Amino acid sequence: MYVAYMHTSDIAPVGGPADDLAAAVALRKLADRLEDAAVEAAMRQGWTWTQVAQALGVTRQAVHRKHIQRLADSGIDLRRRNG
Amino acid sequence: MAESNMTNLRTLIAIAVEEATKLRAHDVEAEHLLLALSSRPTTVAGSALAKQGFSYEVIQSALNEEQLSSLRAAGVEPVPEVRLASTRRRRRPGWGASAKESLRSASQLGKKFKHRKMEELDLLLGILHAELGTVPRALTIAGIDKPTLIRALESSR
Repeated sequence: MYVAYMHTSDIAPVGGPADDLAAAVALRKLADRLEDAAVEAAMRQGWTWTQVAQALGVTRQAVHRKHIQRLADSGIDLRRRNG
Repeated sequence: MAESNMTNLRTLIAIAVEEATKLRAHDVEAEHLLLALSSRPTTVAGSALAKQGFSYEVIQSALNEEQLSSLRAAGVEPVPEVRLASTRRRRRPGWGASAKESLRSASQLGKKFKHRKMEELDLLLGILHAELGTVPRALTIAGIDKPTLIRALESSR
């Protein structure tokens, strides 16, 4: 199959695949921010690490490793959350 | 002179890291460098941007619009900021590909001039040199004519 490779200057930053690629970037950023906010909200409401991990579909270790430092700074009492 | 350039660049980098941290970004990207440049209207690059009508607020608004437009392309409505509020990560953001590319382009521009160190204006032009990605999209969506802007900035040297 013949593929016409385009020099970058031939490609507009808006429209076509550029929009979908930018959408993927924007969704990743939004997902990261939403996860940070939602994990913090859940822990404030008394959820355990295991419950948050189950809701996110990841291991307890993964969610703990990713958020523990930030949540320790947030002032949430994280004792007895190991269930 | 070289020391002054280094001090300016160091300050600029620190501001860009703070911009990325504020926006909860994992990495410092070209858009954070651009915000940092525009936040200092008394510097050569900041003043050149301001003269063309690009204040920090104008650039911030163009970047916000790019983010919303990109989400709309995926059929996603913006999530209210109040639902996205969270405590900052302790980890310092890393360096993203677009920021590294901007610095590389800026360094190439600096080398064009014998004995000249990279300056803030080089970095600004290095950022604008990119043809794809968040910054070019934000400028296009905001209706900004990039070649005209680059010509105006180059003439301010």
